[in-house]
Amino acid sequence: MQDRPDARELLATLGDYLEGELLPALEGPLNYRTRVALNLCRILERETRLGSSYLLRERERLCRLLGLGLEDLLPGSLHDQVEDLNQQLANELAVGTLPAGFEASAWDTLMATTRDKLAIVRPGYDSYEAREEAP
Amino acid sequence: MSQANPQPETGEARRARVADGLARFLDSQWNTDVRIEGMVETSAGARRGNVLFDAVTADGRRQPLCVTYLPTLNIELMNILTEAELIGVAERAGVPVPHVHFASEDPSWVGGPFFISDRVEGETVPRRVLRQVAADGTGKAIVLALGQAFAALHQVPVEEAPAALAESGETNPAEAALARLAEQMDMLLQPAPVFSLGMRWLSRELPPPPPRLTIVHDDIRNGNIIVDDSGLAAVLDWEVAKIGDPMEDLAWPCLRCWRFGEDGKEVGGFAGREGLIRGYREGGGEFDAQRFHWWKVLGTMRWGLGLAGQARGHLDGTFSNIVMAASGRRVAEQEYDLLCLLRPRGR
Repeated sequence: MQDRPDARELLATLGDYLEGELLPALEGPLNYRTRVALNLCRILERETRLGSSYLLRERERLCRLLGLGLEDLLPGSLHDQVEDLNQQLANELAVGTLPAGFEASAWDTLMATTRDKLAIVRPGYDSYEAREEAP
Repeated sequence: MSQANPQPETGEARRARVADGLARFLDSQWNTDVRIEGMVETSAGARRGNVLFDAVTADGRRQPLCVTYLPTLNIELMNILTEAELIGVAERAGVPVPHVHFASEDPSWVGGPFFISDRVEGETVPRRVLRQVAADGTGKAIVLALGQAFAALHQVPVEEAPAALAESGETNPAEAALARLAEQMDMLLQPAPVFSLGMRWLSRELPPPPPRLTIVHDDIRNGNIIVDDSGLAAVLDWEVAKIGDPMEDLAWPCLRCWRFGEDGKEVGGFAGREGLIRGYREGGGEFDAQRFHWWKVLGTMRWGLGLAGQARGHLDGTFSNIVMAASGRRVAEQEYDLLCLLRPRGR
């Protein structure tokens, strides 16, 4: 086991350094790229905190949608299993006919997962729902 | 055999070289001594250079101009003479554009193809544009003017478009665009079921060929327009124009990614679509809501797949840098926007 600070604490520290000390000293393209780096630090910080529980939720949702149990999944890491389930869903969506209601259920599943992804990469982005824009 | 690597040109050397080329070119056109003063680069480092400058003639007259140039010949998206001709066509049709005075492919002046136009005063950087628009209260006027500008452009008979544009025409632009999207899908590094759902919807809802093919600018949006205190001053960057479906043109500035945080204002963060439709209809255009929506879905997919492509370029080393890497983590924004556009009834 590594000593403190742990990964999350180090990412927070790195982000604070970029934001508080480095950025104010930079201008132009370097300032812009360092802002991007800072944003990536914040993303990693949130991913370290939330990533594995969100992956578990994604696996559960995909299994439910595709009618699979955990025992049906290939042995492998959680990451590989979720990737495989996403591939299965993508394949389903690519073929001609689907059971009635499947598309709407797939939409629910994908919306829930996309909101989880955004909670890590861009918190707050899903507060706008574009309800007037859909026909 | 050893050869010294050429040093990259400094910004100062570039400005001096461009100023010299412009002075020589304008001397030859106007038959008088021309001095170049007050040069400001507005897009240094981008693929194309844009430089604002004053041309001062021997009798002391000062003309505010802008040069758009490519550093070399071989990165043109559209031939510069075609672009200059197209801007002229748009101007005569009533689209606000900077008037083009000269265009040349000769690299001996500024190193690559260029055109020289009037300098239109105003703001182009999207977030600054939105701040100015909020201060001046010009959002609705800009959207109305955009609708009128689109109508004016789309009224131009296709036969009057530069010949090079007319050749690119496809009979069903939607079908062709969907095929290009499928190619982008094939290059994804990981399964993306949200985009698979999008492809499914786009294929099912594929519109027939539009009633009329028209010139489409294909990139009118917040960022490619000049805005002054009274509203829309000019439409810029005509280099991706083509012959296509006019609804593709109207849909593009309405993507959420061009609103820069003003999400409730569908058209570029300026205002809702009502003014766009009104301006378009008043100018003689026919607005088709269903087709417009189809192109919005396609544009959102295209942008999302483009971001995934940037991340792929970073990872395979074709074009590695931190901004391209970060693009990979912005794909989810487009996935979310896409899902919102495809929201099933009752959700």
